[in-house]
Amino acid sequence: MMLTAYRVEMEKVFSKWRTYIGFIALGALVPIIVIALGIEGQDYLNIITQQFGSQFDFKGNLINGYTVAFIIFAALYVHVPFLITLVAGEVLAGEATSGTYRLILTRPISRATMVTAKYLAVVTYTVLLVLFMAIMSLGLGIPILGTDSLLVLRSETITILAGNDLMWRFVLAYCFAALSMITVASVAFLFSSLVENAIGPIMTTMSIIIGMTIISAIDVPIFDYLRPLFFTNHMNGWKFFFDVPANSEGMTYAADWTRVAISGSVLLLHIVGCFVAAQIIIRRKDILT
Amino acid sequence: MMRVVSLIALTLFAASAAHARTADALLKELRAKMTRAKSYTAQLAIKVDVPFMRVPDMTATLKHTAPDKTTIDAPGFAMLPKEGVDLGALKLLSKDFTAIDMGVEKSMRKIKVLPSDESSDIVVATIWVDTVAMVARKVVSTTKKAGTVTIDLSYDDAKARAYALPSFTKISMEMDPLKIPKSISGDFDGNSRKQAAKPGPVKAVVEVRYSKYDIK
Repeated sequence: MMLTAYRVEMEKVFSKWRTYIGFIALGALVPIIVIALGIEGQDYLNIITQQFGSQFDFKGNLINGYTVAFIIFAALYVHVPFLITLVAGEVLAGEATSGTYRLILTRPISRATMVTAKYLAVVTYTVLLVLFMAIMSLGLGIPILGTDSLLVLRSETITILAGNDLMWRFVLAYCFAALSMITVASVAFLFSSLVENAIGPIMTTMSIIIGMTIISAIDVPIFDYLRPLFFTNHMNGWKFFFDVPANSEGMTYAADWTRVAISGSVLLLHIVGCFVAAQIIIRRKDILT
Repeated sequence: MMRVVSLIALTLFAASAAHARTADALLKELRAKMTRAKSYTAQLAIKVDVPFMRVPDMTATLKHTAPDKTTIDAPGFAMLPKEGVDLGALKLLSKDFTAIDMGVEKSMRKIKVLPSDESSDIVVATIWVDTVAMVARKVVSTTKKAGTVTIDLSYDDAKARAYALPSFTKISMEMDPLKIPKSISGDFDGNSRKQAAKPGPVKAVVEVRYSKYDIK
């Protein structure tokens, strides 16, 4: 029963035009960014060469496929949530808007099954979008610009990672990105269960993300206590996979695993919390449309 | 017993004879030893230790052709100090210079070197010369661009030591603190006040091991 419901929901999700907006946007943007960085990416590194160029020589192909994939990852990561909410915010509220809730529930499936099937369809869409971003970034970047080391610029540190120590980091970082985006989808899904208009959940989720991001960016002491509570802060946990280089003493699979685990756990809690809350809300909902 | 006494006497004689030499003559002798190698290649293992940088250990190949053409090739990325890895401060000796004798320090001759070429990046260098082994043990150079760079040299490879080529160098310098705008790093979730409280310049150390010398 669940499999059938899931298949039906997947057909619904992928029969809508808005589902493809994310894929089209990424499909158009990523090649443009890859080509632009391939031509003028050196400017990105000037921030380093200007600061330390008098003391150090940097050799190697620093504008390579990994660097470009990393830059795309960091740049689009802020905007991809909007593409996710377009679908996740609509999936339950859309049924209310079009008046098909009661029609669905006349079928021999429980409300829990319906909500789970819809949620799984949203999760599938989210994972596919992140996978598409990964394939586009690495799949275009590496053949066009080759491979070499990656220079990771953070506010307080610069980390240089060897080319042969990067693929596993990207794989795990994209997995973490999927977890982050599922969190966004879960929040939008929860709001979608509360209202009967799809615009509301989309706008509310984006407002929360934008609000939390702005508060995090403002350097005021009182916000130091708030930042760890925001799920948007933990969404940046993918960067921790790029914080610790392997060294010659045989330390492999080096990353800031503690912070990865903390951020991952917080995101998982949000996912479970939002899903359970949506289940309870729909179960108790007085469906009149 | 007699051999030991003779060896000590010989060493003392060599040391006193070296001190008797002028700073200029000593450096020219060192230069002559270094230029005996028409060309050489060496494998480099480089370890960079900068407080705000996390850099994996790197390898590179050093190629030198007399008198002063030096190239460093790396299989991938390499971050190399502009001064020191190619023994640039000692390259000063291949051109005209003025030597000022600063006396003896820790049984080594301390000589200040002023390049005659005004376009040289090195403004002044101080070289500690081991007059027994006739090698430079330490070089402190003040450059126009990179500030003051200290290079400590070791000579464990006997074959390379015959040409005054080191087996290990430790390059120390001061670097400005890291300044990366949040718009570049994308770290909008951090607390930059902690970063602002950090003191000024930081000490950077680069260790280079030279191996597999091929000297011609």
